[in-house]
Amino acid sequence: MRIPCPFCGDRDVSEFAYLGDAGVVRPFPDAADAGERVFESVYLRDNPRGRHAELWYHASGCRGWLRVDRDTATHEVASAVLTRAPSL
Amino acid sequence: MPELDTTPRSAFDGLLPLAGPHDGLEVIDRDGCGLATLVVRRDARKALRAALISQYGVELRDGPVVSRGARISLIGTGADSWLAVSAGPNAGLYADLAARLAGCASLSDQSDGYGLLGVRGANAATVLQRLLPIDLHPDAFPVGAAAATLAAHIPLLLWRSGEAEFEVAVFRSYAGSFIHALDGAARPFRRSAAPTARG
Amino acid sequence: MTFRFDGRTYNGFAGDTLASALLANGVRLFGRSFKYHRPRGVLTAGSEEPNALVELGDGAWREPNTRATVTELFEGLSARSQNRWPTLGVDLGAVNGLLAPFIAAGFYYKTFMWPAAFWEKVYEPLIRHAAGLGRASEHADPDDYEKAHAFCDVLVVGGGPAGLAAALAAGRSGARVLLCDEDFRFGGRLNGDRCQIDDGPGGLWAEQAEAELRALPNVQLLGRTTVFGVYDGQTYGALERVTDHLGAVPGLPRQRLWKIVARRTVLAAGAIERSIAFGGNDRPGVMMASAVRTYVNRFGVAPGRTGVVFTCNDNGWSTAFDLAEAGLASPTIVDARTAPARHLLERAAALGVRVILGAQVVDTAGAKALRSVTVALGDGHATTLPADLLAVAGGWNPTLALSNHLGARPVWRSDLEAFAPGPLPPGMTAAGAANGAFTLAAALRGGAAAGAEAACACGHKVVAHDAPRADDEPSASSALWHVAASRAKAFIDFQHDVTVDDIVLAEREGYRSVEHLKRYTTLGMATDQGKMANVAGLAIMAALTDRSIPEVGVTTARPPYTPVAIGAFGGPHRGPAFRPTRLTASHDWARAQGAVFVETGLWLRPQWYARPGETDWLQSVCREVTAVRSAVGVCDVSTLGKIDVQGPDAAAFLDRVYINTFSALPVGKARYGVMLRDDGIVFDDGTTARLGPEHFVMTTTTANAARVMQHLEHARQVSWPDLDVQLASITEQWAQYAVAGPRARQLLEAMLDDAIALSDEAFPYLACGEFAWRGMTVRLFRVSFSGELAYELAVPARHGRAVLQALMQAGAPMGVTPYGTEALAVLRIEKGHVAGPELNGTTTAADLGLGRMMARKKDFIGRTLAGRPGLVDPARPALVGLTAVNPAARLRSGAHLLKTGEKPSLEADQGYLTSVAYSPTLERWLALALVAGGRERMGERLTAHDPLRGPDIEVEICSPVFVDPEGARLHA
Ligand SMILES: [Zn+2]
Repeated sequence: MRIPCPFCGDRDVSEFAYLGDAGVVRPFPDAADAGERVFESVYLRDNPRGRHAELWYHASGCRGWLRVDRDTATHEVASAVLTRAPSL
Repeated sequence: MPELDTTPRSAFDGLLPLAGPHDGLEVIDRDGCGLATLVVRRDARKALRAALISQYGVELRDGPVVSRGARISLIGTGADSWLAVSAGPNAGLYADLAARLAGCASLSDQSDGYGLLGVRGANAATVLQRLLPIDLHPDAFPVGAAAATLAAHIPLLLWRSGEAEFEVAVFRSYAGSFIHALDGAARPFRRSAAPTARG
Repeated sequence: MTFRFDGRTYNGFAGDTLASALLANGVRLFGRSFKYHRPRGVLTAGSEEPNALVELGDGAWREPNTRATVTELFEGLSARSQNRWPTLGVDLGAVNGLLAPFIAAGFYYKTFMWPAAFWEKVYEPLIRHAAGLGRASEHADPDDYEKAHAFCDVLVVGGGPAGLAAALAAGRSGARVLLCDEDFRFGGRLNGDRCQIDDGPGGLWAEQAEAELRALPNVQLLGRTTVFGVYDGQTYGALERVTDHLGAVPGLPRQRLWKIVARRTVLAAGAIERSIAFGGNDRPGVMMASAVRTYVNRFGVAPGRTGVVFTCNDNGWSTAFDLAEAGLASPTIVDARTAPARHLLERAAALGVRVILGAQVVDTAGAKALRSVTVALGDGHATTLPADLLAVAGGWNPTLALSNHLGARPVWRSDLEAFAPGPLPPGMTAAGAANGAFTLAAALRGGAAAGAEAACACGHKVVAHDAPRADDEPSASSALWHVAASRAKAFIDFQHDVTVDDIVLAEREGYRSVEHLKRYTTLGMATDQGKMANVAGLAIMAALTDRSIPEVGVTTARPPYTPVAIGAFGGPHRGPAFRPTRLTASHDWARAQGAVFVETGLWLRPQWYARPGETDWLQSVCREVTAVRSAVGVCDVSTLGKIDVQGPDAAAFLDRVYINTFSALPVGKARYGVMLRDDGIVFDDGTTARLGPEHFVMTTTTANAARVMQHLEHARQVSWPDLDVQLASITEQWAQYAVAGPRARQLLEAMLDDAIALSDEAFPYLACGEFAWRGMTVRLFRVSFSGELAYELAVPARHGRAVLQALMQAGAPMGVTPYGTEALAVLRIEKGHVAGPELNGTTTAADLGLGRMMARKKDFIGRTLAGRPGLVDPARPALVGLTAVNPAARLRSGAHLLKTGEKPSLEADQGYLTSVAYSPTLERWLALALVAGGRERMGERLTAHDPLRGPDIEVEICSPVFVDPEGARLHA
């Protein structure tokens, strides 16, 4: 599998580390239901067959964290963007 | 007061030259060049560009490319980061950069962190291509292109300084393993090797 | 060239394969079959060969199951037949043939069922002895292998007419083309068939095409290279046999494994001729019709003197014509069809070829080689023809394996009566016979079009060239899978000895789906993956169950297309080069001092320094520990991860990644920090020092350095992208040495001259500073892992070795001693500091006695889930110290704890020993342990239970801090 890193270009998957569901948002810690929401964000992640937004880390490249839109059935990557926009 | 042997020790001491000679390949130790990691601060890219032009005459480019100047070059290593490399030996690069770029970039001295190699010659690209999982064809990796990648499981930075000239920065601790891998990739070009191997 | 087969010396020619050379020498018998030990010869002339498998090489070089049909001859080649005992001619295993009714499909499943105890003692050794063809070498692979990467616009798989035409079309456009062919000669069927292209012989055209391609700078040709696998992202695996055809060549690898990334691929892998299942279709002398042509036309070998061609298509007739034109005794054609095209009949008549129509071969005879063929005639009679060669032309199957590697299924084309490519992997097109274009003209047209289209897709302008011209030869075909009138064994899978009867049995017993059929009969499960067998097996099952072939299904081809040595996948990464090794700046010095090294991740670290006269590691370690406790020691801690954390928000950032607060840390001070994972479990620990208002230097454990960097980048880029903080790994920039012991200050004062004041007032515990010394910038941290007065001195790595030597020189009068990771571990256990065995992915900060470090007023990673009821349960295992009641007793890490008198059981488990050391300071074994509710159980006695390594030992729970609990040494 290859991932089109927005900084480095097309690279072999062996350069990347996988984290999973990119839809997980770290909840605000002081919210009343913080415990439940953190539990959900840590443990109850989506893992669909088909299109999925995922977090990948370009460990052996630019060290960028990417949001990758990937089909988990065909491994086709529709897009990959940096999670943090480059500093202005 | 103890004696201190302050002879600078290159990462590649005792590892170079490669067992050769090779056809169209030369590997040189560029030890002594000043190296520093440079990470731009938030909202400071403009200021950094301006400072680099005024202080060093370098026009900073984004992306995995080399921003080349007379005294220093900046190798694009990430969306917000570069490796600054002095043109020649310069032990004071980090201090100089830190003073001139204060406030717009965070700097870390890496002059001892990486070993720096020059890989030269007509077969340089072919030998490196054996090791590297990125396309080194001049259309895909022209002069001025840079990449952070892996070779034989060893992380490295690579940039092309000429048609047949590459620079490779390898973390110091990996120097022995990298030279071993490079030696293996270069083996078919050793002059003693049989000519059938030039595939 | 001379070569040896089964001990006899033969002569052959350059350009021969082992098969062609043996055939030329009159050898017909190549081996014995897998199950029935039937004599087998050469069936094909290609990589699909299921029969002619030999052992190649001797000793460590011995390689089993090598196909003689693709083994290029070289001077001194040595091969042996397989699966025979004691000799190929006299094989006792052939008695299996007599037992054949009992070794049908499913035999193992039915016979070796019970009693269970028999399995290990009787059945398994029996099966293992009988199974397998060749013998693997039991030595390490003595050959060298290389790996290489390649990138191209257009990868062309196969160098036959379609592949060459595709490569020419793409190459002439300027596209970067990589053409791979498994053969050592480009041309494919053009090498074996008599044909005309552009008014000249096809072979000549192939040579000219190859020469033109070699002259193009944008084209690379890899002969002897099999593209064996298709992977995601248009990535392909290929194996180049660099010196297999030369014998061992010093300095060159045996094989090279290519990882190819191609924007477009033209699959021009050709087709495989299929056999027909009739009685005795495996006898030596029975050969595929196309293979006969190859041996005659390419290798100049007469595979027989009296030939019969059994065909169901026009293509088979050309074999008879070639045999006749080569001056070999006039062959006979047996065509199952009743009315082939008239021009075939006319040509046969002109060449004197006898033709029998509407007939089928039902049996063959001959002991170790074919003697005669029995033909069932259309009128119900039978006739026996003398023959030492039977060429079988059962039609063609496109070579589809690569098109299926990503999971796509082929489609059945009833016009071809064959499977053709279905949906193809991204970027791939099929051309030529692989695409079902079975005539030469169609292959050339299809190849040229596919090559041009692929080049266009990569942005190249295709210049119109005259396409190579050839006539479409007759290619009418009518499928014939099985001669129903046959009584004798009719083989489908030659390598696994699967017959038509086995498929009938599988059907009768209900194994009708393709996956069941495959597993029950082992059809297609041999080293050839059923290249010749699978479709025929499906066809017969279809007929038995009254379904169409596609209704029965297709089996999935998986990489590799042909076998690849494990050594090739490993490449140069074996032995000491299995993975990279990281060495610290003073590695050579340590080695010269007698250091014994231990792997920590990729790093090699001195474990202890053996001195002359020391006979045992414990002796060395105790000496090193005692030196630190009584004088001063130096330990290389360069491998700890070091990360520059800089920027206006650096302090705020650290507050969020550590459980404790760093924003309040003054410049010039260091602090021990603990990080949690999101789930509240401890992730890593280390000291972080503040060198400036916006500059911290973090240290991580050696093992976690890369993972901490990833974790921090995640926090910076994903969780809090607004923070103005910058990270850089500086692990490699600094060589760092711990200087520990009551004389540490004295040593550093002697070492550092007046560069820095080191009195406890000027540089107290947890002070840090950066200063110039002898022309270099150095950093000093007063931190201690041992509990002693201790510092860590960081210097630019190039000076590491010289600085360490200077420390040794300056410390000599104080008795300075280098110490390794074992002594480091003893010192930290004596002091009750946690390390890897305690930070084991199951412990919370509170479990480790660090709960009070958790700041209450700030958010940090892991905070919320660290407060889960399950993680704050006071009954959780907590860190304690243990000593043996009997001071002489040796404790073992991993031992479990039981209440005295309790029987060992999961319920009775009180915890376990995480770290154990012999303490020379206290002259007894000590342990750190995780004990349920341990902190409330001081003084309680338990039993340490470790049945594997020793008797139960009575232990007493105590504080984990065994040495200097008041910290007087630390603050000295
Ligand atoms: Zn990247």
